[in-house]
Amino acid sequence: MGWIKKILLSQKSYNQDKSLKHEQLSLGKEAPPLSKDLKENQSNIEKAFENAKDFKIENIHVGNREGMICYLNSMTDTSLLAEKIMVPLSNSSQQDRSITNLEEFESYRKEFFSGVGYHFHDKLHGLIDDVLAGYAGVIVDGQPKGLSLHVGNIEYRPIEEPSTQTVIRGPKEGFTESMDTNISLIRRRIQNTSLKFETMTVGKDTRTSVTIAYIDGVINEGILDEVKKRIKKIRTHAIFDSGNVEEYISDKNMTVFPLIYNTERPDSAAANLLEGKAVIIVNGSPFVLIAPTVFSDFFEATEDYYQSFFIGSFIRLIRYASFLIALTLPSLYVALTAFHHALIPTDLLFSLQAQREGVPFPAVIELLIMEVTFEILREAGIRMPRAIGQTISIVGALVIGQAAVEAGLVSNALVIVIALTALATFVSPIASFTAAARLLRFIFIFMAAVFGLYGILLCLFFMVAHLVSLRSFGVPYLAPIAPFIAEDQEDVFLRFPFFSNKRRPHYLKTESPLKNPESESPTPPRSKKGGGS
Amino acid sequence: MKAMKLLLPSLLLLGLLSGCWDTKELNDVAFVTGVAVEQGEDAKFKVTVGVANASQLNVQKSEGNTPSVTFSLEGNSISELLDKMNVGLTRELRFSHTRTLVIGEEVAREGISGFLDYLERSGQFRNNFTMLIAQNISAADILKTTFPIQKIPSLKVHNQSSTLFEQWGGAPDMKLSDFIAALTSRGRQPVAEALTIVGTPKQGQSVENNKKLEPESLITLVGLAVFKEDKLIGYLNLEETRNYVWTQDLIQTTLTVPCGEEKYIDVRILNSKSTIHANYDGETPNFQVEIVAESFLNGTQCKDNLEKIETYKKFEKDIEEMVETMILNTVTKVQEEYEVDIFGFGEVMRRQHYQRFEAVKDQWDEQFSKADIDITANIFLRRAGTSNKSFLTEDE
Repeated sequence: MGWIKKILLSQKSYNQDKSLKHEQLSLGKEAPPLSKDLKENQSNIEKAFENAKDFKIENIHVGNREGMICYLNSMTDTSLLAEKIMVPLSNSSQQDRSITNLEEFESYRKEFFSGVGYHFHDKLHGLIDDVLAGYAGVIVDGQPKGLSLHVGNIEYRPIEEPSTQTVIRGPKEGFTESMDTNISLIRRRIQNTSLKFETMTVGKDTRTSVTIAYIDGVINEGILDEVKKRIKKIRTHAIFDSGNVEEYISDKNMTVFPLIYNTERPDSAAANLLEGKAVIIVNGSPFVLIAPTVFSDFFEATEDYYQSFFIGSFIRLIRYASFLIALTLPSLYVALTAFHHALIPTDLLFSLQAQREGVPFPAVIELLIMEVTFEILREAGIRMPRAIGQTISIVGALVIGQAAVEAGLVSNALVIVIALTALATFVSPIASFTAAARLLRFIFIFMAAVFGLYGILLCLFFMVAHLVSLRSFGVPYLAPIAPFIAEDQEDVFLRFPFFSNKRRPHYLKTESPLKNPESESPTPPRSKKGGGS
Repeated sequence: MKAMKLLLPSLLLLGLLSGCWDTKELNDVAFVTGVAVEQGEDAKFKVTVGVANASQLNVQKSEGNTPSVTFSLEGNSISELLDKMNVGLTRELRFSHTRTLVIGEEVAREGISGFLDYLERSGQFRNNFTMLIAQNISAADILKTTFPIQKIPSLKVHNQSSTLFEQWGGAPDMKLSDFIAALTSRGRQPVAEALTIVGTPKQGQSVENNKKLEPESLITLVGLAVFKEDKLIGYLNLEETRNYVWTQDLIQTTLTVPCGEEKYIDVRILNSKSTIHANYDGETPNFQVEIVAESFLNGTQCKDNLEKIETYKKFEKDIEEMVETMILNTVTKVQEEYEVDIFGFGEVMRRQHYQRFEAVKDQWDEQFSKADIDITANIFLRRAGTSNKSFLTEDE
């Protein structure tokens, strides 16, 4: 067991050893302030972008003065650059404008670069940051400030139908990797000045933009402050996906249950914003985060609200049942066939017994073989190149299906158990939540193999104890079931019709608790005496 | 962390509570579907178990072999014999799906409480299986007589008797727990179901029997075995069994009631409810049994016009009369012939007149045999099927 100790100790020494300093990448932080001398600035910038193949710098005339323009051609749209900057600069009427002070520089910008996003910088690193984000930097000789002009318009994946959380009825747009597009997708759905977006930069080395969206006057101030505080507190070098942010800002990491919801659907994000939650958009990730999150959120799909509340409620109940199936069905199979024969109806018992004749393994081994095979198959299905996808599904169907039975490895009933479990796993709309059931299932199987039904009960008992201990941004994870909140039951197990769903969730402690107090059940027009008007 | 320190040991401690270490795979055990107990030749008992051969019950795996195997041993205690069965059988026996207990006539006449105690005490058996008395035949033969539809004999018998009880009331709904309750009660004597084999038992002991349209031998239910304490003293036939069940909890039955010369109406009885009122008339106990039931006319051989309310009134009267005499005859027969209170009148007396019952509880069966019984039937004829006037009815 010495090696375990070694690993643990080495982890500890990283945390304690202060002499190990992280070599910070040069991101312009150390760069000096802008000087009035063009040559000095130019050489500083060139030094910062040394060996950057995509960096371009050109000497130009701005008005009657010497100047330079620099940009990253990887981050800018060259046609936009030519149209918005190069054409005005080459305009002969500007050649004799004199730029001697800041006011003249500003009026020059107004005249020739109007309608282009800009910043003035007096520090070199500010300018460099902008250049890195897709701006063109303009420096004029003798001017203490540099101008950055937004010409970034990078190619992104177009808006497509989301690959997760698909719907039959409802909007088919999904978020993309571009944060601006994502903000626009939300703004299109909530055209209201109360919708706010606040942007922060996270990640020492990647400098990723993270935007918090919320509805002012709805979201609980305390929750919003907590969200901001946690994002500010992130100390990491790199953020590539919202998954990274999620891990940093979750209330707790030692749990298999996701404490933050993620979605690829703008309508889902917009609806959650209006309920009083915060949406966190991470640049480069098509999955936005929604916080706070409760357990029942993972059983809701946007489609529940787009179709009749009868079918919406029914499907929601199916989802809860599927979660239980995905969690316990294999363990119930083990417990019943290895311990509690008396609980199986006689005819089914004989059928199961007949199938098990000649199977060489105990039920739990048989089950684990198939479960692990299925997990391998699933992982292979996700990871493998699309082109050979067909092959895997054929092989997989053979392995999991009849072949294993005919080979005498497993019994027929077990294949049904595995198949039903696998199907039930995919019913929850959010993939990160199904992972919880997938992992816990193995603990359940183990406990069932050792203790029978009693073990399953123990597992459920501890799972519920764990669930009630969880919080998401201070909101109890099992709300509104435990603590029980009667007025919030209208949207938990059943989806009540809109006319009776007038309040925002109580557990979110929103600033305005009523969302549509005037909604009414539709009624047919009453005919007045003497005919209608 | 502190919570974890508390949680982990408590989780481990909970493991100790487990009583189910006896994990057994399905293919390591054999399920006993029926147990037969009869007089042994050399010892007190001869016990036969019927074990299900599951693979022959499976449509895909069946090879046409026997669906059930039996094995017999002789000895003085049932418990020991059941554990010793591996003298002839391969796997560990499990009794959780045992559906029938067949008791031989000789054993039953000598008293069965000795081994009933084991069955009730052991956690292995469910106490809801059917108690059967094998009349005139060897009890083991019941476990050996095949049937094409329900292939395992014991399951067939179980199914047969519960269906007969539900459809016609010709079998008592007497499970092991009910039997023991009646045995311990002062105001009731137990009954069990009686069955026999029609045809030659030997012919029925092969799967070949299932290939005949008319089985060479067939298990049939013949009525009721009447007990005094734990000893068999006699039988009631099927009609009398139905009348007995009617005083208890009849689900439904069909009556053939005379409506003229050699003419009958067929009546389906449903929703029957019987209430018993107990009383003491001096030294003689008396009981009013009140039967209220709904009925449908299933068919008629008479010409009475079924469009007229009078016809219904007449028929209702006929049915009531018949039910009253029929049940009274059965009760009188038990009073005179067997002198045991299988109807539980004593229990009713105990509930309604506790003091009087306490005084006579040790001689209750004598009290019962001299009791006055009054049966009142109140039958409502509700409908007459899908047509009203019969084609037999002549237009007037």
